Amino acid sequence: MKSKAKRRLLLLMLLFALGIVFVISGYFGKYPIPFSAYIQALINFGQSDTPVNLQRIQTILLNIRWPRIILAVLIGAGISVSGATYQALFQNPMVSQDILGASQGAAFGAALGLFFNQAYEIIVLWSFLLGLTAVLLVLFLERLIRGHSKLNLILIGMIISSLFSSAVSFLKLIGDPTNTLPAITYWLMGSLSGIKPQDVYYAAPLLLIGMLPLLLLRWRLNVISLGNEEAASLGINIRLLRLIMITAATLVTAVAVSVSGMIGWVGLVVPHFARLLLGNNYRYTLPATALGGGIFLLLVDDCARLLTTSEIPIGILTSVIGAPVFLILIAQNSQPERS
Amino acid sequence: MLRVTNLNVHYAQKLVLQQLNFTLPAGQSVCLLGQNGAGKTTFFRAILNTIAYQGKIVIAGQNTKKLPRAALAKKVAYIPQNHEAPANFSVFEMVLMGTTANLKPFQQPGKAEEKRALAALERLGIRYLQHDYFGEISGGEQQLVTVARSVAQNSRVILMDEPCANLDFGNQMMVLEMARELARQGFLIIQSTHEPNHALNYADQILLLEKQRMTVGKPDKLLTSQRLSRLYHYPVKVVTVNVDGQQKRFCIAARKELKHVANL
Repeated sequence: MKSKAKRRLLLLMLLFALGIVFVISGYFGKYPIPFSAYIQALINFGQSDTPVNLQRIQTILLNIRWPRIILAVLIGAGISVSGATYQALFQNPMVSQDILGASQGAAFGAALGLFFNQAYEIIVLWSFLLGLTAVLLVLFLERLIRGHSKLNLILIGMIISSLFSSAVSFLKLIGDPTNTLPAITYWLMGSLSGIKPQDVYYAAPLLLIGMLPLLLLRWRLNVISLGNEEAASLGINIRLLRLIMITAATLVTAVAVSVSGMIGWVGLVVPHFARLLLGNNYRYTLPATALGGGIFLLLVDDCARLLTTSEIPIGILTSVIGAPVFLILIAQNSQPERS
Repeated sequence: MLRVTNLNVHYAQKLVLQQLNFTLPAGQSVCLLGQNGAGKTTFFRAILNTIAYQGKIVIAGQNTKKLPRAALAKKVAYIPQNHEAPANFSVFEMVLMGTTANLKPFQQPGKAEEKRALAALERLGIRYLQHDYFGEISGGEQQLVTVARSVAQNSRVILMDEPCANLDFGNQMMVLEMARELARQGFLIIQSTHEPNHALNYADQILLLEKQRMTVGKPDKLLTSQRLSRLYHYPVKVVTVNVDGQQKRFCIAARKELKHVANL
């Protein structure tokens, strides 16, 4: 086990890494900026006598690059934290919002909103309500079956996910092929390319509000991961805590989905890396998950916008990274138990 | 310390526990005996208020049904059977979780809680384990860690669901000795067991769960050949043996022609 000081140092290093990746990501982009001018533009922020060429760089940063970078970090942090939360709540390291159907439910809700051309707040609301419905449906069905296998939750999650995916397909089928259909299709692949400054004002506070209770209650997440009966005997109000945490995690998922579409695998994979780095204690692992998720999604988004001349949807890249990692997890989990 | 009045528990529309009435004082090591599926775990759940029941359970003068979870956790600790922690915490973190009931909702354990966890580890003599991972220590050590957690929880009543299951002989004895010592120091320890010899040699008080009813009594009164044979549906003999000048009682199985065995 690592000592407390070591873990705090690792957290600080992650924070520092996030800062560096943030600055570097602002430098890269389709519009070439000389590095010295970029640094000067950063330093000159808020000063009145900034030269015109630097002002142009600042405008690009403020209106195009930073909104996208900020949301990449917040969405990455949010879906990772909520993935870790689901894993602890259900005592199952193989679940995440994608596997529990939360993402697909949220996607259906958001697609509904897009289908009816609704405002952003309404899309998020639909997304949240249907994401929550999906998770609660999975939990209800799992309880109904009363199975003891950890696989049941995953299988039921798959069933609900595919149900909601079909519902999205149906919307695409009846959608207007010149307008609604491409909008839903492209958004579903997951992309941060369409982000505007006003998206940040809407989505960022909601993402932060969703993450806050999870981060504040993270010690209790440890206790609840021991199992319900044991957690109750240690003095935890299981029902209330589960309700708060499922609601918060699903809110984050829904906001992320309605801004950026389906960015799969991040919620599953990032918490595992955080645990590898810092151990199981969520007191340290959850902040690390948030920072790591932010760094991870920002880097992947940089690849998405820079690797080829046209953008690669980020959901494709996260799947390419996430799928093999998930395979490794399955292999590790099916190793015979040590007694 | 623990008073149970008119306790009835239904589970899936079936009556599991019927009209339980008894009082147990502090400072006793109590063994709970009963067949498989007799409702031993259900009884623990009722005390922990994690299952619906009729009747009244009072611990240290307070009705447990009316206590919030955190307040109840300060009175009763629970050590479940088959402990498989899905997440692999260190021994120290595991024991530290015992202090959760004292924390405010958003609070992280601080210096005071860490001190209490260390004191609990110290008390059980397993401080040297604190940096090891819970999943990687032996079954006996795991049992010690969960007991240390209960001690850190500061609750005077500790419920142990078959703490000796899956342990080798030496570790079983260690857990039993420890339970008796904790009882001597003022805890009320209730453990369920399938081994009558544990009850005969280590219990101050016996709870016998049979056909939904609970009988309470001293081991030498309650655990007779007749009674145990009836309980387990198998003829047993309780014999008295002189071990180094001490009279000790043991339960051994008598021979019986079993139908399914005879047909083999």
